[in-house]
Amino acid sequence: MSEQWERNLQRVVRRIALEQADGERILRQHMMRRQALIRRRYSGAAVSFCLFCLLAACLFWLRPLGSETGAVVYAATGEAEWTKLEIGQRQKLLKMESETAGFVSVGEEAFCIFQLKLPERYLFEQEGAVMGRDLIGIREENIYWYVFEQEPYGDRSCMRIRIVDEDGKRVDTLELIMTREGEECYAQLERVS
Amino acid sequence: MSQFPTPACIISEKVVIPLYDARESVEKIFRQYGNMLYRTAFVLMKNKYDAEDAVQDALIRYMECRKTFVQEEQRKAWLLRVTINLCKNKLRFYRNHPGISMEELSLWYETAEERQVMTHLLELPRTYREVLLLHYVEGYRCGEIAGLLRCTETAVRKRLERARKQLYQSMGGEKDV
Repeated sequence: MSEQWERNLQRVVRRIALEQADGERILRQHMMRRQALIRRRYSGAAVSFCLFCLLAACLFWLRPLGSETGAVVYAATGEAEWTKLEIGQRQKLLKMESETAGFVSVGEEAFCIFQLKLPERYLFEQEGAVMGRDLIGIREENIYWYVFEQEPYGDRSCMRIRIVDEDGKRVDTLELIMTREGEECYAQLERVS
Repeated sequence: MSQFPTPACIISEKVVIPLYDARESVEKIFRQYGNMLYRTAFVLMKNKYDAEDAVQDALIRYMECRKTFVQEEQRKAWLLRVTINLCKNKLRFYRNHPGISMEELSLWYETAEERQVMTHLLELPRTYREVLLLHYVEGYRCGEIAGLLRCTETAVRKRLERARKQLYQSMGGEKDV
């Protein structure tokens, strides 16, 4: 096959070209398809997002029965002042002079006090906590936090309060997080799922 | 180049090739390679409208493509390969594939001889048309065509040889255009 033939073949085939109108139409249709594709993707993403929110809301609201038993923790925050601890809210506590009414008294500790109020038919199990030399425990319905101010070991501790029904089945768990910042004492109540 | 290069481009030592990130990119590609893709699709599909569809599909594939092209030649080869594969897929499912008429050829060819060359070319089997187009029109070497068509270089050479022979014979032997 001669070179001339090859050149002619090239010339003939290269004559094939899109007309301008056809080219513009192809581009226009492409842009429309692209926009439709993006719309489908975003609508799909939007639907997925809505489904996710719905599922999260369902999981939030459809919690296991008995997760809110009505148990309340109050903290002494002032002279003759009890403040109800809200879930997630940090509260500054009143430190009182040491008395001999606690578990241990070595004369140099102050203490903070909480009250645990449970509805009828519910009991609790607790897990005591130690923060350095500080002692935390429950006696009857009072939670005592003995603060050894001369021994600033540790700055955070928590106590878990498990609420159980009459059959001993755990229905709720609260976590009392206690922190020391310098001379101040704070408490925060959390619910453990 | 900033510490965190934008996702729209990669920078090689020689050239910056923007990935698809904006409408302008597809339009630019179309202006640059549209005719090449169209004539490739036309020769394979033998039909103006199917060729336009194939070009459009190729642009959609390009839009969805997340490949990075370090060189312009890579992008060109990728577009050609996608177009050829799209045409193959379309032909596979067509039972009665409409062919082009002489009237449609008149759009591009004024002389009967030119129309005749194109008609003979379009009568060849698809595999022969592919290699003739890529070799004589787009200027690819046999090795490069083998890469584009995912076959061996030997196969490409054989097809070229047979295509030339068949086209030569159908055009009456010694006759030049």
